[in-house]
Amino acid sequence: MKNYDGVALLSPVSFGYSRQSARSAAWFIGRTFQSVIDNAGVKKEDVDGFAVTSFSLGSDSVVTLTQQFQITPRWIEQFPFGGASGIIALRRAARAIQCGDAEIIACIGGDAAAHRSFEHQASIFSGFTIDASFPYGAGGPNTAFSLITQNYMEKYGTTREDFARISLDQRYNANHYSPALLGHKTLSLNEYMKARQIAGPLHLFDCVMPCAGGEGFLVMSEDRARHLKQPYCVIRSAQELHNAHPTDEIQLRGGWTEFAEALYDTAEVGPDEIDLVQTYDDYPVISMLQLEDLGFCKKGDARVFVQETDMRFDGSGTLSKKLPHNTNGGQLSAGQAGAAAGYLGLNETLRQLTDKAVNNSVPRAKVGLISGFGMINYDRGLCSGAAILARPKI
Amino acid sequence: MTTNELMKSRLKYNRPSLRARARPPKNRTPLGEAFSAANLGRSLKLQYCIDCNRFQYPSQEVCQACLKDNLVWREAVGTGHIISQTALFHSLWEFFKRRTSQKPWPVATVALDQGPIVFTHLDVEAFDDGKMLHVSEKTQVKVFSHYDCSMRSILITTTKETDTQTRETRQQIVARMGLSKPAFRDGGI
Repeated sequence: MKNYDGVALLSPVSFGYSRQSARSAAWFIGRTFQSVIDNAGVKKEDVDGFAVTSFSLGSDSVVTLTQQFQITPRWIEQFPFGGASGIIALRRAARAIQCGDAEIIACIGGDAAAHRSFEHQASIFSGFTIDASFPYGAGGPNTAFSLITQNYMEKYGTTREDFARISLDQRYNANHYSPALLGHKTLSLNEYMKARQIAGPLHLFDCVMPCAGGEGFLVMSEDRARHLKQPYCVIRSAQELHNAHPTDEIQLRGGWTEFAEALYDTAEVGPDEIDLVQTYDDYPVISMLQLEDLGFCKKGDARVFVQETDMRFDGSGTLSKKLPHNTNGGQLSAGQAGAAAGYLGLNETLRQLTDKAVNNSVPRAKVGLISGFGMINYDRGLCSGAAILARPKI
Repeated sequence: MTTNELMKSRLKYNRPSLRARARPPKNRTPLGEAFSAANLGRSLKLQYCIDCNRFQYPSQEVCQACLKDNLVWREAVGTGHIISQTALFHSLWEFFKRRTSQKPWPVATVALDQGPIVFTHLDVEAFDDGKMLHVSEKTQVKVFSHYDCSMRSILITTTKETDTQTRETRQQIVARMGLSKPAFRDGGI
C-alpha cells in the first residue's frame, strides 16, 4: 500500500460540547467549520474539499450543507461510521490530497443532542437493531457492551477495579482539559465502585455520556501547510478493517489484530516508541481490546497492563510504567458527541503534536497512536481503524 | 424564538411518560414483520437458504453466504448454548423502564446449534428458582418464539427441559416474564 507522504493534518478544533442542546447538527458543523478555517488562516473560498460526519443530520447531507455554508467543493465525502470516522476521514482525505482531487479539505464531525434524541437514535440505529436487538430490553449500546464486558471478565478474570484504572486516569486527564464536560469533577475509586448499576457489570462511570459537540480539522499538502505557517502533523501509517472476525461468537478482538503489524512496520516504530495513545473508549473494555490487539500487551493481559501502567498525561501517578492514554479524558470524561466522537482522539493527538494542548500537554511527545472503533450493529462493533501520527521531519 | 425559550419548550416534554399503558417496541422493518408473521403459532421459525442449507438471523433480504434470495421460513430446533448474559438496570423504552424499576431485566445471547447467534430475553426463573442472574457460560438452553403484547414475535431463552411445544406452555412463560401485559403506570390521578 502506498504511504501517506506529503500530507499534513492541522487546525484541530473541538467546539461547543454540551450535555443537551436545542441547536441542530448543522449548527455544530457550521460553527466548527468556521473555527477550523479561522484558526488556520484559510479563507472559506479556498476550501475545495468537504467531509462531514454526523448521525443527526436527518434529511440533510454533506451536499445540502455546501449550500447552507455557500462553499463550492470539488470533492465531498460523508463518513457516518461512529468511532472510526476520524481514521476513515483522514485516510480518504489524505488520498484525495495526494491525487490532487482537492487542495484543502475540511473534515468536520458534529452532532446535536436534543432532549431524548438519543433514545430515538438508538431505536432506529440499523435494520438489525430495529428487528433483533432494541426490542430486547431497549438498553441501547449498553446491552451489547455489557454482554461483551461480562464475557471478557469471565474469560480473562478482569475485575471492576481494572476497568476503574482506565476511568480514573482519564478523569484526571479531563480535569486538565477545559472542554471536557465532566472535567470539573474528580473521580475516586470509591465513587467509581459505588456508582449506580446500569447493565450487568457496567456501572455509571463505565458508560459514556451522550452529548452535543463538534470536532474538525484540515487536511492539505505539507507545502501548503508550511506556506500557511501553521504547525501540522504527518501520517506515518493508517489502516482500517471492517466486519473483522465475523465468525467469532462474541467480540473479544477487533480488526486491529489483522493490521497492527503492518501499521507499525510502515510507521517504522514499535508500540514501545509510541508517546501517547488515544483509544476509542465508549466503554473501558473496548479500550482494553484495543491496547491488546495493538500490541501494548498480550491478549487478556490488559488487566495486568492497566494495573502497572500510569495512563495520566503528565505521568504524575505512582505506577512505574508510563503511557499517556486518552490525554483529554476520552469520551468517558469529555462526553460522546455522537459520531463526532470518532474525531476526538485524532484531534487530541493533533493538539498534542502541534503544541496546542493547553493544560494537558504531554511532555516531549513526538509520535502518537489513535485507534477507532465504530458502529455497534446487533452484537458487535464493525469498524476498526488505527493511525500513527508524528511531527514532521525538519 | 430565543434559545432559552426553545430549550424550555423542549424540556417540557422531557419528563416521565404519563401513558397509562406502556408496551414493548412495536417498530420493525418489513423483514422483522415477516419474522413476526412466520412465527405466529410456531415454536421457532428462522430464515433458511435452500441453496446453502443454512439458517440465518436476524432476517435479511439475501442469504449471507451466497447472496441469492432463495430464502424460506423453516422450523428450527432452538437448542444452543449461552454465549453471554446480562441484566439491564436501565432502559431507553418506557415499558422496560417500568419493568426495570421493579427488577433487573435479563437478556442473553445464544449460539444456536443450527448456526445463528440470537439475542433474546432470558427466562431466568426457569433456571434457578428465580434467584439466579448467573446462567453460566456454555449452559445448554432452548430458544423459542412467542408474541409479546405489542403483537410482535420475540425470542426467549429457557432451559432445555422446559416444555415449549404448545402455544399454552409458551404463553405461560411469556406471562411469567411480564411480556404479555402492558406495563401500567404507578399510582393514579
